[in-house]
Amino acid sequence: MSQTTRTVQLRVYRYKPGDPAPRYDTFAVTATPRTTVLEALQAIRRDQDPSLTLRHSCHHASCGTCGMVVNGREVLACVTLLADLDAPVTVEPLQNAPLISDLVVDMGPFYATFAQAGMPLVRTSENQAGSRPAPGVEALTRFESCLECGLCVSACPVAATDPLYLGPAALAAAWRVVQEPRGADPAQVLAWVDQEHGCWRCHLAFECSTVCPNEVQPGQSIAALRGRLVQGDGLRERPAGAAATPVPPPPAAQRRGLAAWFDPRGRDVGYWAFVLHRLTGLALVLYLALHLWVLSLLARGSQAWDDFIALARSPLFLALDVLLLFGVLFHGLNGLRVALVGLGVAAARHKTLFWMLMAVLVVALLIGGWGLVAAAHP
Amino acid sequence: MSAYHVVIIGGGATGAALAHDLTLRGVRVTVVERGEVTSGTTGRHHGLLHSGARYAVKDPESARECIQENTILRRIAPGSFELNDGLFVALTDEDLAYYDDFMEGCAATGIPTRTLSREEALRLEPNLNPDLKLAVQVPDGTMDAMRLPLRFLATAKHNGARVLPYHQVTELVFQGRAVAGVRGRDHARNRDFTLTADLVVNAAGPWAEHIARLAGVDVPVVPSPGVLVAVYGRWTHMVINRLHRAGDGDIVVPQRTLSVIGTSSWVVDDPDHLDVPEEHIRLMYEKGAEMIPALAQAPMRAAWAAARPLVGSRQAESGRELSRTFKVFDHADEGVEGFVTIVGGKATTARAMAEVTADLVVRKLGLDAPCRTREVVLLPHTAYYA
Ligand SMILES: Cc1cc2nc3c(=O)[nH]c(=O)nc-3n(C[C@H](O)[C@H](O)[C@H](O)COP(=O)(O)OP(=O)(O)OC[C@H]3O[C@@H](n4cnc5c(N)ncnc54)[C@H](O)[C@@H]3O)c2cc1C
Ligand code: SF4
Ligand code: FES
Repeated sequence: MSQTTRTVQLRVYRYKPGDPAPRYDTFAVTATPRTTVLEALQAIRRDQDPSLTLRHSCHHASCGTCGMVVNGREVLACVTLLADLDAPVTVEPLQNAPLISDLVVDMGPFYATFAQAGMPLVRTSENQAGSRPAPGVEALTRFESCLECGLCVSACPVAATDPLYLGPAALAAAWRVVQEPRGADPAQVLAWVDQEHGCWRCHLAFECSTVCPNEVQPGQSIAALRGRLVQGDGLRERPAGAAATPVPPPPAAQRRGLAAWFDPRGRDVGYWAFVLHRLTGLALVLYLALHLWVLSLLARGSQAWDDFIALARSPLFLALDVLLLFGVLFHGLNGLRVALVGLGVAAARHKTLFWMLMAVLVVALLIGGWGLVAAAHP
Repeated sequence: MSAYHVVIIGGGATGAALAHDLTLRGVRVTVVERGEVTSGTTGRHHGLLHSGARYAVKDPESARECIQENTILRRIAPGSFELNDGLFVALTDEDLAYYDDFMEGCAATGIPTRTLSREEALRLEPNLNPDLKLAVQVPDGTMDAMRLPLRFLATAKHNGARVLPYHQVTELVFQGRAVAGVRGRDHARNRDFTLTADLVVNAAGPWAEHIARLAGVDVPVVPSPGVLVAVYGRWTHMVINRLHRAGDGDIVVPQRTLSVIGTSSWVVDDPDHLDVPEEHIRLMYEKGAEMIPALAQAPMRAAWAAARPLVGSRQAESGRELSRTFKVFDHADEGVEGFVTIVGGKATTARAMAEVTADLVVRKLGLDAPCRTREVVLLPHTAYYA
């Protein structure tokens, strides 16, 4: 081909059942500006190591089988160009799914949950006469846009810790059935998601919506489900005996666990907010303990108290005070956002809402910080 | 279930439909596939549930197979297709000159048609080239290239078949001159495997010749790749074909929120070496935009190639001259017992291919079991993994 080619290094996750531990193998491949991660992996399997296993089928972001974690981000390998990635390119299997071999994960648990939403793949009601013109593409966008790729589940910090969580894809499918039942019973589906491991389990990191390759926006769907449930009609419609059916625990999946709660590297703003929310929450608990201890100084007499007051005027302590103020403001304001978005308000604009509240935070922090310093050194 | 065990090499549309058919006839079936199922040609096809109209003039046998299977599949795989129909649009006088032959061919092969005036066609599909002369509506449809075969496999598994992905066959096991099993490598566990069988079916699509060579026999398969280009946007609701002899870039299939333009045709030796020539991508855009002008500006989502397993002469130049029908080979004709090859066809006709192959297989095994796949409704694709 006439195109310029170059050599790219790929660090590929390798694991076979029985191996003591996974390892990374490095391969060099020749790439054109159009070479995808999938094509590179196929070339590795063909020319360098036939034992490399991976999933692929459609090669155009339609079947959803080629989901992987590339340079720390969930992507479809068939539409991810090597040219857009920093080398060496690290390729790993999806998270929160049982690992079978190398880049292959078991989609069994995913489909077991997903299928319960009962969403048909395509409409069955369209026929010759019903053929509709296309004024714009949006009019024909259908949720059946979900490729069932599992990227959202892999990226979800809640799925990383709760193996029973229904997960973003299944919840998005559930919302589609509520929106457009096509013969299904929405009350049944609402009852299914209205459970501890259902839509209430979501902590609104919105990373699902960020990584979704087909703009399904599962995060917004989860918020919408909650909105519908609190409006009450969902609950009233709950059919007798339709209490949430417990799902059997899936086979052991590769989960990052709590590491996923505190490591937002390479993630979008919603995820950072999620992590900061947890950190500020923990910090505030610690502060409360500290505060009680400080109050206990009162019982130890005035000398102890005066020493403390002197310490409290030191620059270090003031800096900590400002940090505390930040923690309170962040946790409070982001909590407000979580509460609103979580009930379906402004879910589509959750990022805008976040940045608006952060603007409030900055102003409040400046005024409050100045106030603190002024009070300490009048 | 009978004691007979049949191993099918290849987990594409053909192997999947055959596994379903044989399982329903009471045969014990194991499918071995070197990668993920449908990772060969099948998953990469255009996503067209053929009405057969494309072949009505030059390849009536394929056309007939397509329209019959189209009708059966709608019945046994409800929910797997968009029943969105297709249009054949005439843009030039040359296209118009083809109209009579086309209508005659469709009538002769049993493909229902409805001729639309320019205005009617534009009312249904406003994004079509406004210069079109007329259009013919046919029962094409959009299908999911992966999920239909998954339904065959899911149903087969449910009925007792075994599906072994990441199992690559490297050798056939012989008993005298008869094939009695397969040997190969299980890549998922990094170990060798051997499966004994009463009969082995080679359903390896464009790799069928390679598998046949393991038995010392020859099947005339020509791997004939085609380039497909998926662009963002669903610019039409129906499948849009050019009313013309089959040619490059003569069809656009809407798939979910994408439009897929296809295809080209050439021949290669090795189906594992398919590149996507830049000029084919340009050609798809150019030809697609003749029918739907907006495609010219639609950003590209992906471009890829897949190899048709065409049956025919190795001297073929572009593959277009070869029929799209299928052929079953009983290699007993060449002195090798216990070994059957099925190649060619279309994903649309996989069930029919399976029926003919299974008829031969049960006859060879001495079983009396009729085909039931015309009636049995398939399980949903989600049942394959779950
Ligand atoms: C560009 C293009 C567009 C097409 N569009 C359409 C369309 O719109 N509609 C339609 O109906 N048809 C279409 N077709 C035709 C259709 O895709 C094929 O006819 C069909 O998919 C062939 O299926 P198969 O199972 O025979 O082959 P494959 O799907 O190729 O299956 C063979 C399998 O054998 C496996 N295999 C190979 N070697 C070994 C080994 N040593 N051990 C184990 N397994 C092995 C391979 O991995 C592969 O999965 C199109 C074809 C092409 C090329
Ligand atoms: S919601 Fe998006 S990310 Fe999740 S499975 Fe569906 S397509 Fe994939
Ligand atoms: S191979 Fe189908 S989505 Fe990538």
